[in-house]
Amino acid sequence: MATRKAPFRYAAKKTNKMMWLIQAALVINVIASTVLYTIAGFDGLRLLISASLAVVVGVVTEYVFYRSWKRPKSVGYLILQKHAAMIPLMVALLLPLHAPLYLVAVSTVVAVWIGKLVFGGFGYSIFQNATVGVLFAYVSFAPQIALTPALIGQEVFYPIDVLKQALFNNELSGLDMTSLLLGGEYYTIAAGAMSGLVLIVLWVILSATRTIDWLIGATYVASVFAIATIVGGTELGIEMILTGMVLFAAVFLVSDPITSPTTRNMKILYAVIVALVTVLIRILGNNTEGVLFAILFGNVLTPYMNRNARSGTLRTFIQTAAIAIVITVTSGYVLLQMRQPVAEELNTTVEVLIDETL
Amino acid sequence: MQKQQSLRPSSVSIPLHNPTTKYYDLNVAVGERVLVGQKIAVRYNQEVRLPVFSSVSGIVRSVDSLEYVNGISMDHLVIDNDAKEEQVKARPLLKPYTAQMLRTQLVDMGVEGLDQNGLYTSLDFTNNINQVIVNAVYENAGFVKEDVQFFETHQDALIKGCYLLAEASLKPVTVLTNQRSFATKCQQAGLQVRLVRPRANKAWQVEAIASIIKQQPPYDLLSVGVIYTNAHTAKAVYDAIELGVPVTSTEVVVLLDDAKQQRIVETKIGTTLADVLAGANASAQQDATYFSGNVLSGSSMKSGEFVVHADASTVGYTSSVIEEDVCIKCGLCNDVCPVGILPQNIMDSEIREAEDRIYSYSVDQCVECGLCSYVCPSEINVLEWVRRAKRRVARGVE
Ligand code: SF4
Ligand code: SF4
Repeated sequence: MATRKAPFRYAAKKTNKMMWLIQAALVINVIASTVLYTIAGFDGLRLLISASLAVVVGVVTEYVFYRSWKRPKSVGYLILQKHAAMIPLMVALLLPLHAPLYLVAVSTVVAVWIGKLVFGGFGYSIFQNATVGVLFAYVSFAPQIALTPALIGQEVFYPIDVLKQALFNNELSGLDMTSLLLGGEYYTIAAGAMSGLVLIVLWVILSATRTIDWLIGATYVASVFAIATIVGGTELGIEMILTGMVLFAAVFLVSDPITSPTTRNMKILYAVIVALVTVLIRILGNNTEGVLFAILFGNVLTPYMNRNARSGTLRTFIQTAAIAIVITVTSGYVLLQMRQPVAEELNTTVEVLIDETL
Repeated sequence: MQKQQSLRPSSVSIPLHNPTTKYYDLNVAVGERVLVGQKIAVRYNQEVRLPVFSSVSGIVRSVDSLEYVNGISMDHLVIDNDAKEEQVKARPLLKPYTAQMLRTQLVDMGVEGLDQNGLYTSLDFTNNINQVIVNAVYENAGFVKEDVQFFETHQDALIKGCYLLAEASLKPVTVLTNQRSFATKCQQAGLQVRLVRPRANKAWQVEAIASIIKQQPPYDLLSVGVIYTNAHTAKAVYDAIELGVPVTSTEVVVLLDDAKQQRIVETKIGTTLADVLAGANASAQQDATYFSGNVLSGSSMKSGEFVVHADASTVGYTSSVIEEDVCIKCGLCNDVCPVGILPQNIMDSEIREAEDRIYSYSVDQCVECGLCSYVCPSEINVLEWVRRAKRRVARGVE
């Protein structure tokens, strides 16, 4: 009797291990950021609390969801097999440190329930789960995301706000890039984006262990840098990368396999498009940080890109790389030309585009 | 890798027919004594008649219906082995040969359909053949090591075999190898050579063939006039023509317990996998899966009581249980596919039964290398979905 179909041997059973490595990276980020915030004189422990809360809320949400569908799953199964802690950790890291705990909880519920479970659970999402939850917080709880009067009183500011203002005035932000790279000085809009260095180290580890596809994150960062460099020189390129969520997105959001395209070529295009929209929103849009909207926009395009992907040969790879470079360079120059005179007009176009997307 | 002595099973069960040649005429009777290399039957279908040889000397015990590796029952001739290894008289072909004489001798000696796993084809010279390619690489599927000793001992026979293939086909023969010294020797013998770099997770065979025939290789290489065979067959060609002996044994790679150990066993045709394992001092656990053919695309059985057929290059058992995870859309399968047909996307459309999309992929180009399944971190049998899509398209086209 024939029992099972070939292959009788696999390269390695890895999905679970990959997901655990990502979660380990998120936990390292939580711990590192907690320490760095404490060094910078803020209440770092708060991050530890909100991350723990998010995990509890996330797991409970999944538990309740499966129960209500009359398909109860044990908590252990949800954590071990469905990676229920992953998205909550991302949500906690993407919100600012002072975000009220109820907001952390609500965003987690939205991320897990609407982003993940409604689409069929782990492996089936269309939209990057954590992005869905955090954007919900941005849109519905803007005042809570903004800096509190107490923080403003301490002369605390978001580096990304400074960059936005500078971009508006066609200047550089003048922030200390070394501090942004090392962390421990500025108060960032996403708690997990405190230190560029921590994120770069995590990216290297996750890439080296083949947990994430290095190409997609690298393309994203390189494209943000290239477009910004064309618009305002290498200094602006560096500022664009180190201020805000770009590096965090490169490690955890853009390289999320589930919501990014399934072919090498399309992954490159996806990363370039997300990068382009990121820079577009930052330079021309109303919103301060463009990363989250850009990812959602990329997610919308993903099914379309998958559907239209064809062969994955070396030739098409080179073609795609060429297209990616053309998009990057052209958009950089177009942005450079348009930046001043029609800024207002484009502003609205981009907004409309993104509103429609949502 | 450990090289085992050839096995001496107490009896062999030689398949008298197979799924492609369904009928047979028996040449011997129960109780009769047969010799190694004696023609015991002819199996046939409408087009071909192929001889079946005894692999041992001894007394014919019975004709039994046993399970073949595909799970279907087939008749086997059971011969008790008297271990005397008495051979029939060799019938070498005398020079000068014509191509036609060579072809006839190859069919008469049973070399014609030796290894037909995966991309390998039979030595079918009747089609319009433009090219013969012989895979003479020491390393097989990346992790299965070929028998280096085999190449060293039989180098000259191998080269002569390739040369004879050129004479039989009247077309150029290209040898794929990863050994420079062997390449030089082949060139001196007037063969074309392509040095390749075999790597795990790479369909280097498909790439090498593509670069020789200058087109994407289809699953059925004969359809584009290519005979693709391997070193063992090349040696069998030499044996059949110059020594005049038919194929009565094969060298199989035995993978024990999920490929944790590998052995090479010279196996008489008609030996059961259970006997091969016993000869390799290995016993499988209770609920192991026994397989035969190619690790990435062969077939499997619940028990080892089936005969290792002549075209199996790899056999073994695995005790690991495979549990599929959900597809995380990592795209590894898409990236590894040698013909670039995006197996994940095909699987996705097949699951959704999105016919239009299935038709828009070139599913028929799949060469069934099995790499898409092999690399999948979720251990999904992607190839099986691609096969379903292939069948759907084939049905639609009919
Ligand atoms: S679909 Fe899978 S089996 Fe078919 S050629 Fe591609 S990788 Fe090989
Ligand atoms: S390799 Fe497996 S998990 Fe990855 S995309 Fe292909 S089928 Fe999905």
